[in-house]
Amino acid sequence: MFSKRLILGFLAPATFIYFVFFLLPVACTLYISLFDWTGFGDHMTFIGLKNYVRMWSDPVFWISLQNTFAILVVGGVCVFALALLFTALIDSGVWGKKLFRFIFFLPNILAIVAVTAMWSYIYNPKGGLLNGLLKGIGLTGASKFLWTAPEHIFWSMLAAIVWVNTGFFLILLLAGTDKVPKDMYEAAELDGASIFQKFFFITIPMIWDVLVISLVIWIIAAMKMFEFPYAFGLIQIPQQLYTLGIYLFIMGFGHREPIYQLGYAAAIGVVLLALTFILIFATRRLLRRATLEF
Amino acid sequence: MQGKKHLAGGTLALALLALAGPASAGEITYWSLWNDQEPSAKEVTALAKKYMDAHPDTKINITFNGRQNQVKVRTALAGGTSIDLVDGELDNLAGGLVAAGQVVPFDDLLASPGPDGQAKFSDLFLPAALDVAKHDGVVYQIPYDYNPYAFYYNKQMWADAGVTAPPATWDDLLADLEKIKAAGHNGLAVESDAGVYNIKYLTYMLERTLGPDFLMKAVEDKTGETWKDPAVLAAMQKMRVLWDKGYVPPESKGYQWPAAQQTIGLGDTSAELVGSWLPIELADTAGPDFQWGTFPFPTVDGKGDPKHVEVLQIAFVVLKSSKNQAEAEDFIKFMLSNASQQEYSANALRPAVNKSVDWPKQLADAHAIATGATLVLSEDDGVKAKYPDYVANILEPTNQKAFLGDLTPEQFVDQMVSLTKNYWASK
Repeated sequence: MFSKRLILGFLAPATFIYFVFFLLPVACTLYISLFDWTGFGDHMTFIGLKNYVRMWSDPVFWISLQNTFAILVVGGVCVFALALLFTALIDSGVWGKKLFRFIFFLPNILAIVAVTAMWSYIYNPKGGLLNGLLKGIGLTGASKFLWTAPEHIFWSMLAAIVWVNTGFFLILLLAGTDKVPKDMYEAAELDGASIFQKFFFITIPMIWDVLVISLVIWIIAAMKMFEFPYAFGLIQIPQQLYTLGIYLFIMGFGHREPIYQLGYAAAIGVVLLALTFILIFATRRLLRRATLEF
Repeated sequence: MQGKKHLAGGTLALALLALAGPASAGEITYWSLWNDQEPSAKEVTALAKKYMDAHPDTKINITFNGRQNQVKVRTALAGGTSIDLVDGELDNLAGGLVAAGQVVPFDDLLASPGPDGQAKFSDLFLPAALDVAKHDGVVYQIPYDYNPYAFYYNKQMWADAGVTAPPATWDDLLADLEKIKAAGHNGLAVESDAGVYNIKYLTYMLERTLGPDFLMKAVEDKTGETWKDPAVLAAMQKMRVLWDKGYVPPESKGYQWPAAQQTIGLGDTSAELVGSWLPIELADTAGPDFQWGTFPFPTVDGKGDPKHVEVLQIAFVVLKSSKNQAEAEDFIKFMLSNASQQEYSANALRPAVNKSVDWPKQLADAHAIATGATLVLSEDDGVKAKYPDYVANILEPTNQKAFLGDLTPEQFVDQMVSLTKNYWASK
């Protein structure tokens, strides 16, 4: 219908932008990762793969990787379990579907800094909302729990991340379920299917492509998680909250200290990109199914 | 009264105009670490305007980038942007633009006459303030804001608890904190995420007991064995006493900044080991009648000198690539003059580095520490500027674990040995 030249003409601007703003920076990052470079001036020392070798024996890199994967896996399980549960409940014909959708999505329209400040108040050991609530219901012992002590702060942050992200993925899943023909549910109801049977045997298969795309979006979001731990760390991000994105930033751009190891930061960035690609590829391969048409 | 204020204001303005000196042409591009809504930024802007009024041929374009200023400067320079003047935390500049050799030396400027008739510009500074601005023996930075790390405390609370004089020794400090505790207050404010503050207990402890060069020696020992000095273990054991005796309340382990420091302003806690910005940060919470006091980190086991002070300074650098170096240096002199520094200190409530200038009343004791200092130490005894990745990845996190009780003092020593060894092996 369209000539090849016309198609190329339409694709050219997007391809150009993709090349200039993604492929070229990626190639530059890969190049920089082979150098010892502070980023000040032109003096770059070629060190080959030493930045990658260094990563292998860098305990902080492994802490950051471990935290990133914990957000990806544990956070992902919680986010999708809650999003699917709420999808099932909201789609069950409960009153106020739009209101619930709005309430769950609300954290996504707030600035991350505001959200993290709110959670810091919730977790505050003295006068914080959570411990105040626990004390109010008579759980005096539990009300002394230190949610943001170093040994708990990661999991406390993860709970807040789950709270923020559940609404976003709920909206995606609900957009998928809205398109499922109603007569399928009616037929299932005639056969005596329960809410959860309908959900698992009709909704999930019918929104499978939406679910896979949502998972891919989550993988990307979790792997490059930066803003939330950065803001949650406030004055100084504790190592317990380091993700690969945070560690890359600290090594390349400094935070409290003048660390300007741009070559090493670039190497972390390359590993982060590679891991993200591998995970997305694996997810799409593992979850590939025949497309349902309806 | 109002008339007197106008007269004083007019006199100050005239004095500033007179100090600004002869006109010099040029356009100074100045990138600053302040955020534009901070009082310091407003005062820097006001002073720059006064300078421009006195030098109609000179224009100063200020960009307030916030604390990531140096990173933005780096990116801008790589993109070919012309910048003349930059300010930042002295140790951060030392590890960045200065270490990269991108700034001009100030030795000639410092040898030239000062803005208020001093024989040499260098005579104007607080004692030893310029010593830490050197790189390979040459001064590359001119500080204008001087923040000593010390104990900032509620004078009234201490007096009510029966403490008549600030502690001179570590044991005195513990005894005083016991009195504070007996009076029903918390002794010290500690934030579990403020590793950058908590490390000062360790750096001061080591400085007092083992001297100002020990920390650098321990960091640079590729075997890590220097950390096995018995005084390191003793230092950490002493730090833990603060928790074990209840002078730091247990909930501090869960405090995220600024939750703990707020308890000082609210009258629950008596003191914090921190920089001189604390009274300013707590101005609204504490109120105008709060009586701030400051005392230096005391001697430990009869060792050390309380006149050795760790300081965070804010400093200027002029870039080598600048085409307006003379104008930028003239502006620096203007900013360091008595009148400019007095105005900066009074309006922005900041501690000025000019020794002739009084500090805000909340910092009167801190000023006495600054004027009496015989040795000024840069942050973490110079380690932050020279080995910033060591501080960020090893020293502060490991100190945090031990100080907050997740490692025993013995484990702290073992970890410092192995992590230091690993650090150098991976270099």
